[in-house]
Amino acid sequence: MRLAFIDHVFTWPPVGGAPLDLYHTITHLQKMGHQTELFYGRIPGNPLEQEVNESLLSFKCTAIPYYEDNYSIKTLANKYKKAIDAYEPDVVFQCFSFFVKPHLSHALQEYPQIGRYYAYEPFCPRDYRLFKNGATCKYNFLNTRNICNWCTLKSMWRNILTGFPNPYIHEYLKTRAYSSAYYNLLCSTLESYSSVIVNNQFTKKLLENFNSNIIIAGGGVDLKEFEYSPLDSRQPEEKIIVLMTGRASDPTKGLDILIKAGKLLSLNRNDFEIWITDSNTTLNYPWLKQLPWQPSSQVSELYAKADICVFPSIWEEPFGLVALEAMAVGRPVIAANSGGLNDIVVHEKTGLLYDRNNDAALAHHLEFLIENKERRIQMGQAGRARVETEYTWDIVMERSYEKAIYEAIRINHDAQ
Amino acid sequence: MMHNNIKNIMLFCDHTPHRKLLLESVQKKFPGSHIIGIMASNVNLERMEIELIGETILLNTSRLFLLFRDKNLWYLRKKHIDLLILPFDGFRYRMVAAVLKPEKCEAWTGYLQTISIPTTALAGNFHLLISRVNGLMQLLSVFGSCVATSIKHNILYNSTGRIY
Repeated sequence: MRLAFIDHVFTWPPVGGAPLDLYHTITHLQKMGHQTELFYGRIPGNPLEQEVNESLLSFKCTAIPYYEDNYSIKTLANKYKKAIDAYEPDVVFQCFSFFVKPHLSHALQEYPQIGRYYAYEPFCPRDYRLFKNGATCKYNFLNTRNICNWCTLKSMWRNILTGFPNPYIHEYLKTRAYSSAYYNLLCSTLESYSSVIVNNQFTKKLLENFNSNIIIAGGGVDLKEFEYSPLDSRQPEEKIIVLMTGRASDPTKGLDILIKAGKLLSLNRNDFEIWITDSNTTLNYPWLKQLPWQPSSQVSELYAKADICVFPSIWEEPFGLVALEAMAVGRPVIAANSGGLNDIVVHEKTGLLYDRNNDAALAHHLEFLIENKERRIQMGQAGRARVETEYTWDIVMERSYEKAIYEAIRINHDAQ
Repeated sequence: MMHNNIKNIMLFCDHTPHRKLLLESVQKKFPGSHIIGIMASNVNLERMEIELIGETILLNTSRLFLLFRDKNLWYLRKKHIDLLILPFDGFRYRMVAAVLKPEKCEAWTGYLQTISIPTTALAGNFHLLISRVNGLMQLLSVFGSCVATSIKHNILYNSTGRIY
């Protein structure tokens, strides 16, 4: 099959989980015998743009420049269409992009298309996180357009007023994503996809009224990159290392909950250390160690040094790749019961789940695992086994993407 | 001005979310240039950032009044600056650009392109006014659309949030 992937905000080396997920998706589909090409957007002349270093990629890429003086959504869509037409794909994957996605999908409607959503892009125009006032927002753009429009305007107005909105807001304005026409286009686009691939059950439920073929496929782990490392037998004087990786400074990741749990733990014991990958904020606790953000190539070594991994997300975590990586290395995971983490971590088998925002429960679980070395080892081994049987890229590809591709071809064939 | 003529670059390193990216981008675009970082005293730089900056100068940019009383501002005026990079755009920063009189001034605000800023107070602030008017027009357009949608569906937004 000839597969085209459109990702308007792709970066490489990756910034965040979405480009990493796409990279693995394309390379594995290529390995399975498909022909692949990525079409990504870029803004020539912007020194702050996260570039794509094509020489580091093992698949063919085509850059679509999208900022010019006469730039309009129509010309942008035409550029993508021209490039896609020249490639003649059997199936088009609409990957990560924000407000231009429905326009690009509409321009390419003659092709069978699969929608891929990494976060909450269709539900939250404000910042695609569906997270407000420290909790998951109860509204969503597809159902409560009025409320979401006002919320978005409230958050964006200062930036719009400068006359130089940031690229996200610029796209919002350019696509007139606040208009009824955009809303209708978004709804019809969601309905037009032969299938939609999402990261978790929560997203699936939100989309169920718009598309009947929704596949949950968060992502996978490369077992060679994340090799199993048995838990070290630590000396009694050595401290137990609790590790939180990922963008710890991001308020949705729940670092404050971990700090509160650390404070509670430190009242009774001093045999632990919490390591976090955030050196932007200054936190002074004797039991806390701040590390710089680790590139994905080095993070495996960090997991191997840890005894317990914690992911205290307070938003509806789309997937939680970091939890999967920790499990692959053989570490027990304590995670908040949010989004994809619910699907990845099996409570009391590969780790422990707790009610998000509950620092006392997190402290309790930490205490339990710090004191029970045997359980740490058992959970770590069970985690590795779960990754080997459920979450390698080959398995994820066969289980979800292959199915989606052939379904897209079948639906298109039936329609003809 | 050609890139290779830019030797001295001055850059505001205040609490910019994209500060690290900004520094890396400056280094990449103008390799070998001397970067003078201007920052408030409470800014903590990472080691990698310190390595990229050749010289740091403390400057209180929190209030225009305090800024113009700061002796360092007048010290900086004596330096020859080829390029002044502003991570934010606004009246205060445009006034700084007018005082420092660099050869060239650009705002790298994360917008799609860098914005070239006139380095005289009058031209700089007229340019700012024009962009604010453009922004206001866009804002009114969005606001109008939101109001129209609300009226159309006979639902006005309130804090309890009625379902559309």
